Amino acid sequence: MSAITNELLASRIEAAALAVPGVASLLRSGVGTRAVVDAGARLLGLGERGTSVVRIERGSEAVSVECSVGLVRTRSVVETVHELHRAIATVVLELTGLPAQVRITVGHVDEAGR
Amino acid sequence: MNDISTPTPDAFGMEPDDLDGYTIEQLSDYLDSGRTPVNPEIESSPGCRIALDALWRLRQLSPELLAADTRAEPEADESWVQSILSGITLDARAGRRIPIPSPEVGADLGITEGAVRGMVRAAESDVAGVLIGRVRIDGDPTEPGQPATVCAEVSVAHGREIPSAVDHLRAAIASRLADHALLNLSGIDIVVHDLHGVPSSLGGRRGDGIGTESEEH
Repeated sequence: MSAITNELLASRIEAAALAVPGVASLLRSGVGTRAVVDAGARLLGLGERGTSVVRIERGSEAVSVECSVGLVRTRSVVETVHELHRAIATVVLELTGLPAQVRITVGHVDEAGR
Repeated sequence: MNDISTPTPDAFGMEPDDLDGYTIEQLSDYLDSGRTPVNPEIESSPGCRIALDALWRLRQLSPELLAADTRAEPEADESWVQSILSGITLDARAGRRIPIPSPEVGADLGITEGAVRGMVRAAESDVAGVLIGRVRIDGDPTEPGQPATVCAEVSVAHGREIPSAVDHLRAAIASRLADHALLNLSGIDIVVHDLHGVPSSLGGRRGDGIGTESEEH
């Protein structure tokens, strides 16, 4: 169960996040962060395509997950992020057996219907 | 009276990093292209998304307004448009992170000040003849429960009754924020900073600080 790669875990988290009603997109955290992440990925030979917008750090007792999301206005931001947190924590527990420390930042709230 | 700082004259030429490496002109071009082909960097950038939303609304409104200006003045003064664009660029910055309380263990939830400013700015689409130039959140919204005041600097179409426009805008902003309960809102201050579509025969100067209205909740 713990053998799952961070890349696969991130992709599962992305899929779960986008399935939450009210979540429109996963966003990058900023150009500075993006540049650092992309540079790190290149050094590791992953290339930019392997870089997820979901950041994961594994500890011995918990998995830290960080992501930024875009939401739609038609659903309460608070309700949406609470449900998103539960969705991410569930995926992490199922795939790693560890609890999750989840940091979610809403970076954009979209007008509906466009 | 509230003292909302006016964007500096060079605000329109901000560093590209303020919009994740893109300029407002590039985003405008991207909008021109119908957002195709899709640029993943732009679409995944919070700042760019906020700016694109505001640009899109401005475009829905501005052709008619620009036409009115052109009819009124042989050489349309677009300074009010540039003022709005400056505000879009500044407001799209992420700013502070406003916490969203959660009863769950292991949850650190929040929303950027830029996203909240974008929500406030979107209220302009609810009130005819009003364009929001700048939005500011006063107080310390990073501390849960602390009172915060939203300040919006607006341009109102010439001929529109200003008190009515301000009342409608305040109600629209309050409604949008109440839907999400993100701030302990203590007030919404609206400064009518500019008129647009002012006939030159009436001495159509812009940016004279037409009036200020403030209301406590």
